Amino acid sequence: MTEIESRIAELVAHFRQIGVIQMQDLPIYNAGLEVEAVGFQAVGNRWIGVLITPWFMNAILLPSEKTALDAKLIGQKSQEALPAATCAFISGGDETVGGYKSLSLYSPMAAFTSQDRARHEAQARLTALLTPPAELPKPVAQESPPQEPANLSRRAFLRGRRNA
Amino acid sequence: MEQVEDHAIEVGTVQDLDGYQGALGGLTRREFLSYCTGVAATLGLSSMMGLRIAAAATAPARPPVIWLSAQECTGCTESLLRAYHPTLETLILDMISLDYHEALCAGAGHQAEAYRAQSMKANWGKYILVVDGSIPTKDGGIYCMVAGRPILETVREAAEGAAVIIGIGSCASWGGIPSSDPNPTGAQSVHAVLPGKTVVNIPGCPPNPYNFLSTVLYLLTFGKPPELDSKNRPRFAYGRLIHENCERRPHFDAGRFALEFGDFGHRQGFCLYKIGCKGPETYANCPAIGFGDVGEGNWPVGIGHPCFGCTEEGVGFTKPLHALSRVKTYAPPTAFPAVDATKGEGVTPAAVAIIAGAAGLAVGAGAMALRGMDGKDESAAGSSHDSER
Repeated sequence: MTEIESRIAELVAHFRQIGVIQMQDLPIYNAGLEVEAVGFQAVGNRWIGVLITPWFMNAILLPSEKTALDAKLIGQKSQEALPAATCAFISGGDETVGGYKSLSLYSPMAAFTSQDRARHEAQARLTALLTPPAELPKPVAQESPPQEPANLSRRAFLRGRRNA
Repeated sequence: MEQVEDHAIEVGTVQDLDGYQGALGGLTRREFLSYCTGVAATLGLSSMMGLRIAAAATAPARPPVIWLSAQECTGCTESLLRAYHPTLETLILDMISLDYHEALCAGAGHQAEAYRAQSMKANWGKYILVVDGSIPTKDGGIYCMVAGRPILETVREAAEGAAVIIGIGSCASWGGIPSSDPNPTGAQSVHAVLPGKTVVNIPGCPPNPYNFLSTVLYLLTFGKPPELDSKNRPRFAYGRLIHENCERRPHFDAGRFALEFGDFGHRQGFCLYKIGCKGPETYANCPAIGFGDVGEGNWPVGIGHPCFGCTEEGVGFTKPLHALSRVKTYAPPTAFPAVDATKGEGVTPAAVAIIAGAAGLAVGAGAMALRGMDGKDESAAGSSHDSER
């Protein structure tokens, strides 16, 4: 088992534990699902995959080195460049599995009637995140906002009557 | 200064005061200018802005807005007054003509009512009708009387000539507080008393001003409401659950909860679900754009209070604050707009949310009439935007 495999196994085991201790009595817990890591793969120097649990489905960005959880960072949003798009991830984590960044795909999970459906959706969303946009038209340079009219007189300017 | 201002009026843009006088119920020009500076003062603006109001008030192309208040607390207006992108005065001076608003208009009594009637008549089929507050229907609607008439009648009458109807706030959108059990006045939403009409709903208590302003700017720019969901709420604002964008979400994911106010978890900023947060069943963009223009984190959950579901019918003002949120069921994935949509680099989520709603503001600034809304071609408005139709 490589290091990353063992860390993903740790992630799954730990979220199973969270499910048992904290979540399974809550109405938000979908007992028909179980914790599963889907499609983890390297992107640059990080690992990305989707974590399915009975209470959420998130895309997870896992640093290749396990990093200690910094409580101050929890909840901070950051823009992460993925092949498909730049997405706003939220920093989070846990003392056991360390820090990671997550992107909410689904929560609550009540709509998923089976693990298969959830896995299928997870794979689809992950593929979507990792597929570069196909042949999109080149972004046209944004038209600059209308400039001040060149003939704005000094008098009008001083009176603040730009729109007159 | 007085002279300079007078001069500006003479040669400037306020040329059709005589035409406007009648609309103001026989005000003289001097009285009209006083009226405008009064409006400016009400909005906390300088008297110079009063002249801009005068100029803007006589500009021809801005769509008139009639704002009716029913069973409401003026919280929606208060919220709106604290918006800065654009400021309310920019909105009402440059973009719309706020012809009637009980709390903001400087006129009063018969004068204000006469002006409302006049404006509605002159702009029949073209004005934007905004309603805040729920509509009492019991006993013929006598529990909310404005100018001696049940507001129910006034709203129905005004809706007939409206190009678009906006219900602002939870009361107007689905009944809000007044409709809570036992609902002594028979309060209903605006939509409920206007069968067959489309009402764009901006729920919230108060609603985020940007959701309203963005919707109005969208209307002005494109001449049609933005994409709406099944409850007629703009999708850009009410497309996702609070829970999905919440900054406390990592704590939820990892099972870290506050169990009572002031405990260790609460002080650590843990998830508030177990003390009654309704984020998992409430659709709104509060976590993304916050309130009060002071940056992210300034919204109920951000400051440590569970979301109480103010935007959501059957949640806000209905469920006890401490009750655990129920889980909504819907069918993925087609029902969802993307939460992972492309975002500009270095742009705050708030800015993105606002821009997303007000797309094309700059483009449309020159074409302020509601083109095509009443089915008529308003050729006076900029013709460079035909592609938007």
